[in-house]
Amino acid sequence: MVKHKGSIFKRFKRAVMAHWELYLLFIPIAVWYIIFCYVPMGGIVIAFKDFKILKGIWDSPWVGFQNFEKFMSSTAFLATLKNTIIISGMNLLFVFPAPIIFALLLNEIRNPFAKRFIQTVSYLPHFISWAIAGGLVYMLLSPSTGPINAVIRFFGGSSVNFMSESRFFRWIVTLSSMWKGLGWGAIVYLAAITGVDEEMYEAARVDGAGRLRRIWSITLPSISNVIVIMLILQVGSILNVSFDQIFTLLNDAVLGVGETIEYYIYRVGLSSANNYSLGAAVGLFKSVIGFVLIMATNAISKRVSEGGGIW
Amino acid sequence: MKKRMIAMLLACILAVSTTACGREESSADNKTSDSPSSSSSSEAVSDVNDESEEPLDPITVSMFLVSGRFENEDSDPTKQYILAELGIDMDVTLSIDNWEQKYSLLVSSQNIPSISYITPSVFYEYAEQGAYADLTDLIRNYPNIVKYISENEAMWSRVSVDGKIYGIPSLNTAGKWNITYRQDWLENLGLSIPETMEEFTEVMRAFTEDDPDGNGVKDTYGFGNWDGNTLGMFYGMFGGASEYYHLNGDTIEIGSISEGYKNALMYYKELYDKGYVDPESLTQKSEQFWQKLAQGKVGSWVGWWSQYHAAYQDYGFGETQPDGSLVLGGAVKGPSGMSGMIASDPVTNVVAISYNAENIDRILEFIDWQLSDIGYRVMRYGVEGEYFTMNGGQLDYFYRYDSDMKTVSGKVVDGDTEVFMMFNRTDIYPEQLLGDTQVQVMAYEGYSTARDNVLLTNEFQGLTSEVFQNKMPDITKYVDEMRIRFILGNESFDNWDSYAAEYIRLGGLEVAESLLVEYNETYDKNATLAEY
Amino acid sequence: MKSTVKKSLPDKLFMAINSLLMLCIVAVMLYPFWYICVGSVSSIGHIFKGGFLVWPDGFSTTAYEHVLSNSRIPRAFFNSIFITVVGTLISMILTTIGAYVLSKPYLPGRTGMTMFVVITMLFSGGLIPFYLTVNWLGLIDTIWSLIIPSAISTYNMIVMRNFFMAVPRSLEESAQIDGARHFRTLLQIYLPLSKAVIATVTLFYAVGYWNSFFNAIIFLNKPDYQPIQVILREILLMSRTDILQAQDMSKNVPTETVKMALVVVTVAPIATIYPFLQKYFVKGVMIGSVKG
Repeated sequence: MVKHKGSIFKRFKRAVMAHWELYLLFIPIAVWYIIFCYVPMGGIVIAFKDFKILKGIWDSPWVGFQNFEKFMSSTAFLATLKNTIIISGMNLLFVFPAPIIFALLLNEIRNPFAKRFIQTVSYLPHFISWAIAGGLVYMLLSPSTGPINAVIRFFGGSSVNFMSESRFFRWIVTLSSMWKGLGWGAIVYLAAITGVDEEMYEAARVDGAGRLRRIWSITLPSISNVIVIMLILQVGSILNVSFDQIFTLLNDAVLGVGETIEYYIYRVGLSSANNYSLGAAVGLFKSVIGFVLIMATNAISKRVSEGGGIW
Repeated sequence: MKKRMIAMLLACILAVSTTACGREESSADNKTSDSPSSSSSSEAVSDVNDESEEPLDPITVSMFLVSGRFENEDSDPTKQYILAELGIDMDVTLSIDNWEQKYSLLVSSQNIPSISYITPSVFYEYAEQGAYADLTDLIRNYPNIVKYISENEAMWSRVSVDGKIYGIPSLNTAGKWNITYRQDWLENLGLSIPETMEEFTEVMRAFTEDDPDGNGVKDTYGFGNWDGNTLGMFYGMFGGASEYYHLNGDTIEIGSISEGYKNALMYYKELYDKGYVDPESLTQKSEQFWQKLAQGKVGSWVGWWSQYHAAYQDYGFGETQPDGSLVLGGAVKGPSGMSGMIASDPVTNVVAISYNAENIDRILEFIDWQLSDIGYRVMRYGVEGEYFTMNGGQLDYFYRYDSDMKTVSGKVVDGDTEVFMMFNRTDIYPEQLLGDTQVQVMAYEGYSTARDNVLLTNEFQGLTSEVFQNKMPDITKYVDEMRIRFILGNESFDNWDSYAAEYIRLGGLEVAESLLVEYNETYDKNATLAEY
Repeated sequence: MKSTVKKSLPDKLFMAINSLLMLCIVAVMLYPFWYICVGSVSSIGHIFKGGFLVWPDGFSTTAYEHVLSNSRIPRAFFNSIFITVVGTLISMILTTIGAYVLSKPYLPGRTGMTMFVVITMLFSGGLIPFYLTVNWLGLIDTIWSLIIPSAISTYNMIVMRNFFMAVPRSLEESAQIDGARHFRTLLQIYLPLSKAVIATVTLFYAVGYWNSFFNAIIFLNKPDYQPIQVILREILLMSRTDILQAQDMSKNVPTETVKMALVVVTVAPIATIYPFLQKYFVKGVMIGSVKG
């Protein structure tokens, strides 16, 4: 036992001595994290307290899991949880792959000017805030003046008020997210693609592989580790759907299917001074779920490919 | 590490220098200020300062206002004036974007502003926790404040917790809504402004089916709106509004499940089904509505009083409908002769003083001055003699309706002088709307029509309880969702009883009962709830 | 280098379809923006007429005058530029160093360190403790409160770390044999080979700082250091009817054209910077193949 302990100490000392430079370099970063992330993290206790803003964090009374019971027993909360998971799920299924595919296809464009132009244009929507983008969506889907309904009417159908029908709402959210995030999301993948070795393409070309084949066998595998990392990070934030987007697009007719946790917090006033602890409890709940999911996804990705995963 | 040391060092230097700067600045200004209208200003000072003729010691007062405005070169003279005449150095934070969170952070860091100008609900949250100074005994010493509130003693109960007064309500008129019609359409069809339900239905029909704009195309709707905008006038026709509580004789009814509300929805649905109402009214946002109005597709709408002139000023109605004109109507009467526009909360905001503020007496003096005739005008219009002039008690000139936005002295006004306003004097306010420009005329008309409308009031306005805060959000969501379902026909009115039952199951009755307790306590009454 | 193998039919088909697809994407991405640009110099009536906007009905810059005449704008612009430039610099330095350290698979405790930073992406104490910490450091109402508390984005650091991990070990070893310390290795070997990810993360940070407003709202009480987004958001907020009603403001209501001008003013700086960064999206690794 003593031998084991001494060995750990010695190993530790040896490690530090061997890589002292790296540890030293990391110190300012670690300090930043401690000050701005871990010190405030102590505030998580608010979720277990009846937080009175004037009393402060430490003097507010402890209530254990009462806050969690409160929101978890609320049927409204469960409904919003379901909405959030479904919308996030659709995000993962449809919005996540889109920038990847776009990056792969864009990479095949030969003309460098066209490539640059397309890429620049593609990320412009990212900069249009939801307050305005939402307005564009309304205009597009308007039953009276919108182009989509104009096309429908042209083919003999009657106008559909897309924004007021429950069955369309989540799709509207997903498609608008795709439109807004396609170009910007592709940036990381395009950067990764630049790291693929030209020689491999040449070899494949000589072997007679067509473009599609080359994309599938060379480009895609080469950026697979980036994809996996992005996927893990995305899964970790599965309970985060953009509040601004929902706030702009949601209306009373589709509350049932569109209200997310964030919107619920806003509508119910959980972020107000009186309900701060409830809001903190919901936040902690979201964090734990995200953490579990990241661990799970990470473990799976490690099993699937060696060296995969975040840590 | 180094950065943190530097940051802390910088912080220390900054902290020291600002306090020193602040003190020097205010004393220097006290000596060098030169407001041109020194005669009238000294009158104001003597109002406040009684016999003392010495300049007051300047004090710095931190202020937090919920406002989309910002300090600019045209609000600076007001600031200087207040410093010179009242010795108050206003240290103002104006916030509107995420202001509730910002305010909560200030409180949490023990930096409660000396004066807070915030919404009643937020005020109440903090007042309950003891954030504000008890003004109960002090208030009576300030004549303007007392006079301001005296018409409505009940208002004091809105700012009290456990019988103690913690704030001063900032009041406004309760009548803020109007119905506006396309006047040219009425004329084209030979109709007059509808007063009864039958007349209104006929106007709606005619607007939709009789081609009021004479373009040969059936592209118009009688009535338009946007999501979340109250069906206020319709509620008034039947005496029942969602989320309101109505006094019916001796008992109080829950609006959301009342017969009146049901009838209002049924009538609206009737108009909707017949196609007289723009079907997008329930889901579109206000931008889409203004677009439709500008395109000449909508014949009437219920809106805030300022939207009457805003249609011209901000939404391009004059441009896009050069031959069109608008006219205001009164609240349409329902089958039993009832009518009313939804009443807004007369308490728009509350002014509170932090519990640990220094110089509370000076602060109250400042507030008292703001409520005086001259104080109100300076806070709203700017320094007298520069930005406005009076003529024997009548507003003689006010830059805002000068077409070139010029001050009395000819300086062009770029900014806004109302930045620090916290109180409205509803008796004086209309004077600024009197004038000859189209916008002024419409503004005055809109304001006075809305103010004088019959109102449908909420008996439990502004009251809150723990049950209310816990259960109301989900109840409201249910009510909002069901309203749409009833109107669209997704839910039949035959199932109204199960809707009401669900409302009660969600806690609607509990909420009403808890609010009733508050109501009786606050207003010293003995009301009871209707049978449910 | 010209290909010596002839393009086959499936390839030609693929290229054709790809080009068509790209054209559609450009149309879908570009048109809304074109609509906004055109709208920003048109009259309200023109926009409200509805339908597709292709060309303004008479050039008018009133919307831009309205936005830019706000007396706080010049100062805010300067603030934003300062925050973006200095912030990106500080962020890039910290992130690059952190990513470099975390990319060394042989570093003992690396897993723990990685967990240490990733956990912060998930768990947070909330706004009040964060604010109290910044307050305790005395950063309230300083321009540094807009930079330092958000200096490191774990997301960006992980992305960069992964790119660094792809740099072949052999390069590092040969540098060490030459006697280079870690810092020099980082500077002379890793950075030149990682131009693409450096450009990417720089862009992410720069855009992040340029678009940031929330920190400014909560940490600044005085308008001196307000960045431009805060002001643009306030202008936009004044177009919301429910807010307008509460504010009773009869001046400065932003119209549709003004809202569109806001978008253009926000996007223009970024759209002009990006082409400069694009040239760094070039081949980084010349030697050997890149494995996952």
